[in-house]
Amino acid sequence: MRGPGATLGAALLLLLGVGCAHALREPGPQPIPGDGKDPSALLAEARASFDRRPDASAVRQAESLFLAAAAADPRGIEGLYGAIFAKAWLIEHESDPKARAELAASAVQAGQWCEQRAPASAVCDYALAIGLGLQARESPSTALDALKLIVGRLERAAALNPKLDFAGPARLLALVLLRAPGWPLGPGDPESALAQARTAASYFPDHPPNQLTLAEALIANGSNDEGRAAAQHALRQATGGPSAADPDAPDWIRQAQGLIERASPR
Amino acid sequence: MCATLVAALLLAAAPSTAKEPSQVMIVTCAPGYPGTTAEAQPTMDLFAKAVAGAAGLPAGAVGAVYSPTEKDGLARIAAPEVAAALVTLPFLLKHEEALKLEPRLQVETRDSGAGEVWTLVAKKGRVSKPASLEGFTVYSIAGYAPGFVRGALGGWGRIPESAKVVESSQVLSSLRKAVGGAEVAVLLDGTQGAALSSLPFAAELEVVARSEKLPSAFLAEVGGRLSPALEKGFEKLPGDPQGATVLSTLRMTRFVPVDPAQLAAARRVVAGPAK
Repeated sequence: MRGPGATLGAALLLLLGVGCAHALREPGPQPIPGDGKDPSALLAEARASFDRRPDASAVRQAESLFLAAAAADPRGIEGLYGAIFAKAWLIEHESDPKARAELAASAVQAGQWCEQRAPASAVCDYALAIGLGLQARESPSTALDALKLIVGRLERAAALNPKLDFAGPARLLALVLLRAPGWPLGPGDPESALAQARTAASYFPDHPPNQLTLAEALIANGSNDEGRAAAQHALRQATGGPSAADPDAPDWIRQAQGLIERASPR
Repeated sequence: MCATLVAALLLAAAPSTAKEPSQVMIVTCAPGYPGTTAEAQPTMDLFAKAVAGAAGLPAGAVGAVYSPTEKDGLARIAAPEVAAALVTLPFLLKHEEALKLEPRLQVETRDSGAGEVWTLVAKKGRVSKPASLEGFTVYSIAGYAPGFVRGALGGWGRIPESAKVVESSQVLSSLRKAVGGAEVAVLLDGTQGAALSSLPFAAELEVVARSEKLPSAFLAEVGGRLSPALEKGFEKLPGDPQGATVLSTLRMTRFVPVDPAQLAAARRVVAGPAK
């Protein structure tokens, strides 16, 4: 299942006026098992529902089904993982700030539940990092605290399972390092971001988000020609490759076009 | 899904809308520091509201905007509705004459009190005196004000004219260049200098020289347009709940009257010995 990609990247760079609230709180009790439905069937139904985006009601249903799967299998983590992705999509398509903040807080909660169930899991590290990024954007007072947690979780996930979500940990880490304030205010580091982006692209070169992240990192490091080439690669994959049928392809196309323009000579 | 998130860059609240009529403006300019005008607007709106309240002015009488670059700051400060500019010392010293900036208050911050120490750093053993910097590139977040960078180290000596001064907020990259053996030195601001030991490659660098404690930032009157009431409003911020909150958010403690002796000393340090 495709991940929220650049959610984390968007959640940064607000040190002007950022307070210092804790990003993690006590997550509360785990979801309670319901009516004995088969978790595998619930997961399959959830994924099918999620794949019907941009239908928002289908994604809301996916969120519920993922959480039901998590409740039905108290040791399973796929339901919590999927729920976070659904919440990330819903946040992006929700205009009410209160609803967005609630979704973000629940994403962090789901990530923490995931960690409770599987403490050494790359999947849960990655999922919680995404949740923290969503929360940092909706509740900027948590951003400073969240950044340290996000980077740590992503580095751990990348070490444990570098290919998770099409090299998601390296890709998201690149975006965090590109967008966060730089030393000493934050972990921002365009050079390290480029190294992470190259790693992600080396694992899955035809995955458009990897080329888009690489393009952005190259541009940030002054390599406009290479950045433009990476964005064009992403555009080709999003319009004519296997990824063209992905529900997120229109977003990738728009992003690629923006990066191509940014990297073009004036 | 990815693209939406890439674009957002964290706007905590919708930026304020058009400037209200008869609104005096405060421009905050800190070239090289993080944040864009749009990202900072919610905080600037809170700041303006707090200042207006502390000054006893109606809500909406004061507006504020943040400029992250020198060029943008120069353009904004030149606007006729701007009554005050909150600027860093390097910016003030470079532009005070042209922009008719009259420092009225100094900023005290949580991190460094009434001033900060600038630190010149280079690879261990490369730089022992100013002449060592002949032909070097000196990076600094204050690099847009080469006069400041060359003179900030005061008694240690001026950075020679043959050294190129370059503005850069990519401090890590500059320090890595120094460590890698390039003819590079970096002038760090107070926060950067204090955090130097946190770097994994800190042992390969050395502090070559430090400035004396220099004032960090000033609230400057622009074109004689800062009313006494508004100036007082800045000083009263700590005593006002909204003001105290916004100061804390901006990592400031308070605004205090300019110490003329300290400002004169800073000007002398940067100008260098009389020829």
